[in-house]
Amino acid sequence: MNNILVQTKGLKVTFSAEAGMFGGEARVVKAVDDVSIDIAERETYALVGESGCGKTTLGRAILRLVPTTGGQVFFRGEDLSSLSPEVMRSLRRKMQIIFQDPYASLNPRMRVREILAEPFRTHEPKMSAKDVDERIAALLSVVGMRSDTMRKYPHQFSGGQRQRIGIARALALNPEFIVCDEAVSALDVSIQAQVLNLLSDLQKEFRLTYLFITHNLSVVRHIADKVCVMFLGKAMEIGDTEDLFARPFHPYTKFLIAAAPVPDPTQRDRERLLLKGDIPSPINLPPGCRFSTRCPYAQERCRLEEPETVALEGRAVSCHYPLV
Amino acid sequence: MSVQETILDVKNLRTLFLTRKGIVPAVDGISFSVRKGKVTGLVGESGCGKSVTSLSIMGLIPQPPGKIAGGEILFEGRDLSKLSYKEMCRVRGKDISMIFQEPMTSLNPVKTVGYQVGEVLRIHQRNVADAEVRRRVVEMLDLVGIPEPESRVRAFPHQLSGGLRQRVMIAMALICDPKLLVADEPTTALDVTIQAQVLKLMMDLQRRIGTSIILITHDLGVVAETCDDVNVMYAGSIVEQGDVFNIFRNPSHPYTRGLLRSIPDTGGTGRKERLFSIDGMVPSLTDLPPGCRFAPRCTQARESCFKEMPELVPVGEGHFVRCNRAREAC
Repeated sequence: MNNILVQTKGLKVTFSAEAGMFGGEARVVKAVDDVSIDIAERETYALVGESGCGKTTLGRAILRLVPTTGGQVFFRGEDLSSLSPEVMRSLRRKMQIIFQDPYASLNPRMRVREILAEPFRTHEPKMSAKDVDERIAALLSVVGMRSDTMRKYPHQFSGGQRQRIGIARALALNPEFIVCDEAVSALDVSIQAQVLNLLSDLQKEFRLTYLFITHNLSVVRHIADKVCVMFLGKAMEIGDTEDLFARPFHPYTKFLIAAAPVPDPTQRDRERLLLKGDIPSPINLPPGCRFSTRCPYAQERCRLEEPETVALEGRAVSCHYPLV
Repeated sequence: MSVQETILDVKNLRTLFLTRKGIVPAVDGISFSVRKGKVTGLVGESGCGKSVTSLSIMGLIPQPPGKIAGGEILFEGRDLSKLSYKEMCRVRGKDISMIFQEPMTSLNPVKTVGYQVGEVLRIHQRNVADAEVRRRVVEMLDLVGIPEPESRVRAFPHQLSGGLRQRVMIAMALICDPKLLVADEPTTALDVTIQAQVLKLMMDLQRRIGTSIILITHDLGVVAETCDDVNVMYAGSIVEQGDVFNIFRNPSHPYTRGLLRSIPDTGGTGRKERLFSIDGMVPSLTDLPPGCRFAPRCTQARESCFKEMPELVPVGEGHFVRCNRAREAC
């Protein structure tokens, strides 16, 4: 087992939906509710789930881009919340993020050179302009782009190229840990394959650790070593990728895997497992297990009592009646 | 596509956009048929012209800057592209209807969903009593699986989840029993468990009502699950056409093959191996290469591919490919 690089312990993030202008009670959304994960050095750890499950918030909370309301985040064993702002700032260069939308995450009024010079200007203010330019040219070649792209603006590039620029920006300060937040979701499948290959090449070359946030299960299965399946803010099941896909223990994992369309028409007549109903609102969580309103296996106990997370054959499962 | 009754024949359709950068041939001479009661897929990546094709069929191309510059769209023998605005209004929503990708922006936020679904009826069947409209709307909402339809008719779009909104769109599209339904990325904005529900609903209703469907998607998984016939589009033209089993079992255009191989985790053993990827990117439509449009990215291209645009040629029963090398063993 590798060393743990990033760890969360009972991490909580709540957002309060304030009373609106027409009155009404203030409500609380538990976006991340008591999540504990361990990310080992140089592995790819995937967070999967549907919209509103808290996967993006968890990724941002780890980077301290959103304030947490409980629990801790450790980076190399250091509790990030105990660090002074100066120390945290210098640690940030080790922790980077690639955003989902390559159209919204690059400033349209900056040239590529300025976009990529920003990390250096912030963290290496003494670096000479010439050195910065050299580093930028090197970064661009690492992500497979020509150095003459420096003078261009983001709108002059396609989605895939923009995402490469976003990746170059994340790599600028030689990070150890990168949160890839739906980094390939906005891309066409042929371009998605290029970017996924680039990410795995970079991981080998720079010994990177990825937290890969996505809703796309085939991408997860391809790229991840470990998977955490989230539902309404909670980790439902955590395990090694192949193992978890081959034999899901949590009913939600099973249905999530079964729902993905299979690109093989000869399998279209297979028996389909379909979940009934909608994802409940994260504001009014049902009592008991939060999946119980959709779960076909739910029993009385599931509706009353919230399950604890238990260790089961090397996995963490949050279910009263796991499918063993 | 074998000899069978067709409901829609698109013949050599050309749709252009006049822009500052010049003429953009978004759809450049495509021909395909939709068989009665079948699901026909238009598949391709962004900018391949699949949505412009659907908007051309619906008569919804903004003119200007758009223009249908040639070809025919024969719906039960009538050329839709020649109809006047008024005539088209009588077809749209009644004989042909459409489901859009984004259920959030394609519903009117200030009208109840009941009103919006009923509006279709009120427009196309003028002498229907209000009570009858209401009854049919409730029945339709029930049919598409919306719980508590009697109270949901009074709901506004923002009060519904994405999945329910898309069900409202489907109810709206089907309430006049259209003969043809154009579904443009109907499940792309939905979560995967909701997507599975909505696809199943569409297929069940299709079998029940017998509507023909044009399904536009970039997701080959969705195609494999739902389509009978498939048209693969690239840079404004159809590069491969055939029934779904042929396309997946025996893809004959290098682009189709590349697309299928770029999907992570097909074949099961894929993890950690490099994904197959198609190098380069889609050409700009204002600056199309001469010859085959895929040639600059094609690993099998040879000199002739860069000179001459290949024709769509048969490679099997109802299976056509636009590739110079199709007849060779590949």
